Parts: sequence; structure tokens; C-alpha cells
Amino acid sequence: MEKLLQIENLNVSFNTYGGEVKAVRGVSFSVKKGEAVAIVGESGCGKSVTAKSIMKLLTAPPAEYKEGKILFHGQDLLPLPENEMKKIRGNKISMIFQDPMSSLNPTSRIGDQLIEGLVKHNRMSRAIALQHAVQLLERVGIPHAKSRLKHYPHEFSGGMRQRVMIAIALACDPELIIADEPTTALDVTIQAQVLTLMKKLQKETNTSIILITHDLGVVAEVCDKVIVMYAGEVVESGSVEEIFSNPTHPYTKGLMKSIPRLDMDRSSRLYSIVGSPPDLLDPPKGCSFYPRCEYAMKVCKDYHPELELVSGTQQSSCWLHHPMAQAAAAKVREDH
Amino acid sequence: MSVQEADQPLIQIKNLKKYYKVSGRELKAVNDINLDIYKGETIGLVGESGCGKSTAGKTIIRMHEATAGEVLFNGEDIFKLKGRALNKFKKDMQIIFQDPYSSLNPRMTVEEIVGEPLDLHHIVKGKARRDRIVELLELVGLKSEHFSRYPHEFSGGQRQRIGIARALALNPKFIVCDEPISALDVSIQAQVVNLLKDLQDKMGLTYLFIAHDLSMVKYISDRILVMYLGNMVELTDSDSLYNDPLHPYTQALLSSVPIPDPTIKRERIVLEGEVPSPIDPPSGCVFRTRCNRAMELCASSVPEWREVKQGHFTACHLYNNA
Repeated sequence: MEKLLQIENLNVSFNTYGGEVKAVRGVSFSVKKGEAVAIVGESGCGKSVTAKSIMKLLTAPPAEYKEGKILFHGQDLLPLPENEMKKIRGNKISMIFQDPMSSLNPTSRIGDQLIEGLVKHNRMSRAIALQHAVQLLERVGIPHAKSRLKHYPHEFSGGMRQRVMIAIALACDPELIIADEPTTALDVTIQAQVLTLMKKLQKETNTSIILITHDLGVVAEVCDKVIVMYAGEVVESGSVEEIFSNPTHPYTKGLMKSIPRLDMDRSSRLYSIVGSPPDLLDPPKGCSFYPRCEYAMKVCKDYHPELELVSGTQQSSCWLHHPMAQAAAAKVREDH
Repeated sequence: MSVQEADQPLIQIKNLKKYYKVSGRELKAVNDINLDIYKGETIGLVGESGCGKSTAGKTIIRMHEATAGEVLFNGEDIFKLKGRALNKFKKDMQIIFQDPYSSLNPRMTVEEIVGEPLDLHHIVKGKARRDRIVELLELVGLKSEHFSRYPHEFSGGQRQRIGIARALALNPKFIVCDEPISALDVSIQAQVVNLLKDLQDKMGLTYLFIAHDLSMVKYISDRILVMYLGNMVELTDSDSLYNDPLHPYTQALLSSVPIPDPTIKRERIVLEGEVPSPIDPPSGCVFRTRCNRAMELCASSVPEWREVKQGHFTACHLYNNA
């Protein structure tokens, strides 16, 4: 399959009064055509910053793209001037935000917000664009689409607003949709509706999706590939099957174990990863997960592990994979 | 403690109603809740946004005035309490809020936040007050050095711990946990839930745990009440609710939870449409407009709340003859 998007060694920092916050540190991954890739990790791990970098939506300053490449169809987006970027944004790559309440313009009718991209990018006339907008709303399952065009965002419920967001994202038939926690603000029943819709639309249009989420249940249902981020870095990546059946990084293992499951034993204690993520003003020299890791060794403190292939398409950055750490790695396998 | 061991319930909720006037019409946010809560028990309260679960929780502890009904706390009707008796009662009931970012005053230090209930109720002063605050901080897993810091210096999980310390300050008997973990990361959620469970064991607390995350509710609760559009839908112990859900709404709710295992493919009951407006609820059974098993009867008559199996209550016409 063709590589649609390729990110190479992306480094993004924020310059604050406290110093330079290294939010994204050496992130590399790729997205193929028609693939759904999940980026998972805790708040502050850099997943949203990575996503916004692809669209170049970060305000610079304080944000600064320090290093790396974001190749879209082989073309690096980072050096592109703003007017070139505008041709891509909402047209080739579009974004669905977490909070449909605050990401739609409250003072503008849904119809106008839907056709903005069509008029701008496809040079459609207003009338034709509005006809197109009706089809879009129907596609995302909004009843009475034609009369709904005249409504304002506040006249829609949360789930319906998220559908409108999806319709806006789909308007120009993008090749890549970045969905930043698209169902986090929704109820489970509505989340199920939205996920089913997203899966269906992806199949129909063969669009690639980057799904940012912290809900591993959602990942398992929707995605093909998973990228696990921690403290601004990719610590593990692989296919959904690989990551869920055999997580190899202690952080991924911890995440998997802390997912609340319906079949949990009520008498046992919940597993939680002790401590909290490191301060990115001064990230640890060695492995960034070292202070919270159950299996930390001496080497982890001072030397940074690199991502390496562990099996199939699965990559993981952990010293336990080193040939010299076999005894420790055997103990980890015993524990799980 | 199991439900059977305790004889008299700590809290008896009888026909609790909370209506709001919205543009001259009645919005039935909480419509006829009946529930006994026993000492040391955790009751889970689940339902979609706007089903009235938070309103119910807040009305039970008299943060909102009820429209009708009674809440008996140790046999005493709390809606009739006044003055000193009311103040005394307020010490016994506390609440932990959903959003640890907006429920702590950003201009107050941890000392002021946790100490406020102590001051308001004139519990302790001076060094004893300081000692008590430090004790509370340690109880929730914070350190004495956090004493004079401000909320913005803490992470979400730590802030929630401050909120818990504040709720514990007066040695309450009953705590309403209003979605205390919804705003937290998965790994941090587990820390807070473990803390709540430890505190319950240590202090014999009784919880009303409001949430929409069904897996966490199942883990922490002894019994679970499902609400829909202000009405009670199903009530039973946590295991029966998950293994044998009776009401079609509970079944759909459970089947909506994404399973974190890519190898499991299942037929999901996806509820069509959205929750109807509570100002203009459907006739008969309020769930019938989204129910995949709705019958003619459901439009005309309100299903009765009945015990279908031992300790397993539901309001659905499907179980009329059971």
C-alpha cells in the first residue's frame, strides 16, 4: 500500500517562561492509504501536538518545529508557506476535534460552516455547495437534512454536533482525517453510533484516519495500527492485534492492565501505573518511563533506548529487548 | 458488609421528585426515585447525559431542594431539617465533583480548601487544625509539603485527591461521588478508584457513585441503579446487572461499551436516535421511542416497577407476567 503520510523524527517544543517544553521528541511513523492508525497515551504525552503539527495548527511562537519532516505524498509540509498550507487544510487533510460544542462556530448556521470548504477549495457556487451539504448531512445520518442546514450549532445535541463535524471534515473528500478524541465527550450509546458511522464511511471512501484517543476499547474496534506515545516519544507501535495480544513495552503493558473491563474481578485491586509522567521541561536523560517502570534496570536511567523491531511490524523502545537483558525479560514474561 | 447483614438502611429515598420550570412547562429531571442505601454499601448510578443522575445525587444530599418525596437519613427526614440540625446533618453528607479543574478555587491554597469545612463548622483551630489537614492530605496520598500550594500546581489525579480530602474533612458517613474519574486518564482513574475503595474500608463510608463508565461502575458498586430520562429503569446487584440485564435499555447500554480486544467481534445493539427531550417525554414507557422491543402497550401505559427476580427490579412491560 502507498504511504500517504510519513512523519520522520518530528521534534516540537513550546517556548515558555519556564523554559523549553519538549512536547514531541523524535516521533516517526507512517500512515498508508485507507489505514486507520491510533495514537494512544496519557494527557500530555504529545499526541494532540503531533496531530496538530500535521495540520500545522500550532501557534508559533510559542510552538516551534525544531526538527523533522512531515511528508504528505512525499512533500514536506513543515517548510510550506501558510497560503500553500491553506490549500491542504480542510481539503486534503481535515480534522475532527474532541469537543463539538466549542469547535463549531456558535454564531454561524450549520449550512454555512459546511460549505465553507467547498466554496473555498472547490470553487463551488453557494447554491451547488448547499445541495452538496444536504447530501453530506444525510450521509452522516442527520434526519431532515435540508431544514437542518439553517440551524445553529446550539440547536443540535452533542452526538448530532459531532456528526456535523464529521460532515464538515468529509466535505472536500479528504485523503486523511485526523480525529482528536472524537467520542470522548459523548455518551457510550452515542459513541457507539459515531464509531459505527466512522467505520462505515471509512470503508466507503477508503480515507485514511489518524485517531487520537485514550480509550483502548475504541482503538480495538476501529483501528488497524496503534502508536503508543509516552512523554513525547513513540514507545511502541504495531498492528492492533500485535499490540493487544502481545504488548512488549512496560508502559503499554501497564496501559493494557489498567483498562477497566466489564469482566473485572471485584475483589481484586485495580492495576494502576504508579506516579505520573515526567516534566517535559527537563525530560529524563535515559528512558522517559524509567521512574515509573516496574522493571527498570541500571542502564535505563542513563541511556536512552531506541525503537527496534521486536516481531512482525511491532516496534518497541525498551532495554529489555537487548540481548544482555534476557534474564530480566524472562522475569517480565513470567509476571504476565 | 453485605446488604443482608445491615437491617435498617442508612438512607431511604422515597418517591423523590425534582422538577424544574422551563418556559412555563415542567421538566421532570428526577421522576419518582425509590431506593434504600445501606451502610458501607456502594450504589452505582448510571445513565446517559441528561438522565437526571447528577440531579438525583445532589437532591439526595439537599444541594438542590426536592420538589416532592422524602429522604430519610438514619430514619430522619432531611428535607424537614432546619438550623442546627441541618448543619449537623450536612457534616454527614459530602460530595466529590466530576471536574477537578473547576471544583477547586484556583485562588485558595490546599490548606484553605481542605480547611474550609473545618472552619465553617468550627471543628478545630490553630495547631490542631493544621495537624488535621496534614492528616487528611496523607490519608488521600498527598504530602504535608503540598499544604500551601495552589490547585494549578497539581495534576488532575492529585487535584481529585484534594477534592476527596475536602470531602473527608468532616468525617462524613455518606459521599456522593459525581463522576469523580471521568476527567482523568485511565492509569490515574485506577489510582483514584483504589483510593476510594481503601477509604471506604477504613472509614466505613457509604457511596453513591455516579458515572457513565460502566466497567468502572461495575467494579466499584455493590448494587447499580440504571436511570433513563429521570426514571428508574433497573436496579440489582452489580454482577446480575452485567450477566443478566433485563431491561432493553440496560442491554443496549452494556453492548455499547467498546471491548478492548480486537479479536472479539460482536453484534452490537446500537440505539437509534437520541434521548428525547425531558420537557416532552414520550407517553407510557419513556424508553419506547428507542426500544427495539417496543410493543403497543408501551405507548399507552407506564410500566410498573417490580421485582422480577430476587433483588432484581425493573420497569418494563416485557416482564409483566414473569
